[in-house]
Amino acid sequence: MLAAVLATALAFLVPTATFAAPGGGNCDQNPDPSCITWGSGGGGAGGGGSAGGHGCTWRGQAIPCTDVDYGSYIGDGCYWKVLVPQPVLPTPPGKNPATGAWGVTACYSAPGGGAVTQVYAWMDNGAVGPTPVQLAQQALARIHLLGAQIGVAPQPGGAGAVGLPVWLWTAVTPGTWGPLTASASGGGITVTITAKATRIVWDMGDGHQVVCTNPGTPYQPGYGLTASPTCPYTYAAPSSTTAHPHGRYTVTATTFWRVDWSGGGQSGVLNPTSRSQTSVEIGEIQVVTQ
Amino acid sequence: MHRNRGYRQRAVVILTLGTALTLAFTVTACRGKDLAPASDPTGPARSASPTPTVDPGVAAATQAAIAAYNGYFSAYAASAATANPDDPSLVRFIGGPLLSLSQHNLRNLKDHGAVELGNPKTTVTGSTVNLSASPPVVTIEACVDYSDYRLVYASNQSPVPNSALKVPRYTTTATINLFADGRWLVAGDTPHRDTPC
Repeated sequence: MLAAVLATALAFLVPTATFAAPGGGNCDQNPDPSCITWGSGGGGAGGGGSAGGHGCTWRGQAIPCTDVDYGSYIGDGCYWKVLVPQPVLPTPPGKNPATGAWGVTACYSAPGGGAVTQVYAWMDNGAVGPTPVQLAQQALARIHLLGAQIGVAPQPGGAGAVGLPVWLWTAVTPGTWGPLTASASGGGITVTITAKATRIVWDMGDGHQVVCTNPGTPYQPGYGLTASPTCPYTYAAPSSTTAHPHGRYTVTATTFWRVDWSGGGQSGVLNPTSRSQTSVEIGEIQVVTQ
Repeated sequence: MHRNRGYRQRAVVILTLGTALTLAFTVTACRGKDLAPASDPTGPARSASPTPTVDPGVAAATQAAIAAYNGYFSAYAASAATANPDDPSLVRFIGGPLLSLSQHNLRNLKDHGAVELGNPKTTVTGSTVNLSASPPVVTIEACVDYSDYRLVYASNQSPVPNSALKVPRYTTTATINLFADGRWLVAGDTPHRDTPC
């Protein structure tokens, strides 16, 4: 019954206030004359603001979790910010003004900019507690996402050679590949997160990258000169040169994580990264075979 | 999905002309060049003379709302001249959705290294009041004049390309809401850039 009433009310109140973000194209609701000048680029979700800590995503794109003007990200391209002073609006039925507040929800029409629809919106705990996204970030801060415990063949202390297979892997532990879970509570809601690694981007130090969506396969001496079945690489140039006889390639492993969170009636994804490094010496093949 | 969505419709900032159907009282109906100055505190009451039963609350709301609107217009112009989103004068006259939008606009100006120069003017041409709305609202019609508007880069004062306005004088509709501390603050401002005045 209530839902039907609300739906009817919504129908009568459309359109809501739609303001164009600078650069968002539509400036019909934006009084600043410069709005019609900037064109695309500038402002907008993902185009500005400060991405505090770990990023948020919307439609597969990274966007700031907080916007200095529009507040905290609450999902679906929308931000919410409490209003001080409060507008003269009645407290919604069933809500407690001691534990909630009126603010403004600003919703972008697309990642990277676009028109912004702004409406007054009530938020439980808005004045006194963190948002679910903020709780998710708190929970994320409590777990330790480790960089890869790098395994590489040839071993860092040894020497490989141009044209020979290089094996890349990480020791698999909850800290290096997941899953890890944690929770954080505040303002009467609890948010739970689950973190899993999705890929490791190996920067090989020679200008090339290897992307592996698995932790790799640990090398065993019995494998001989076969290539890794899961995360292989072959250097095309030596790290040691006449000028630098003991030159080494710095190998950087960046682990990309997917952190699903849910709680407070919302859910979302955070995408932090972790990183670790090692180095390898790669010589000419004839040096190895002599 | 979101906790607040169920209550959004209770307080949507309405900027459509359809609002006029529910407006309780039309205070002014000035048109043309012989308008009362927007800052004239006696303007609304004087222009409402054809209606002998002016609600004192309506007149006071109108006067406060027009003062807020003129304050907002001046404060924004001053802030835009220095591209300062943190200008404290903004929060004296702006609230609700327009505050975050204004600060966002000014931050965008700052990020572009640009400022808005000139001496923009506005003249209130009419207003309507609905004190029973949630939130209570005064809607102001005005004519804004950006004849000497210049968008320039702050570093060398050179004009930003494609920043000249095709229509320098056009109408606008501002929404002024009542806030819990008793102030009327400008919460929305819709330009009608295709309607010269």
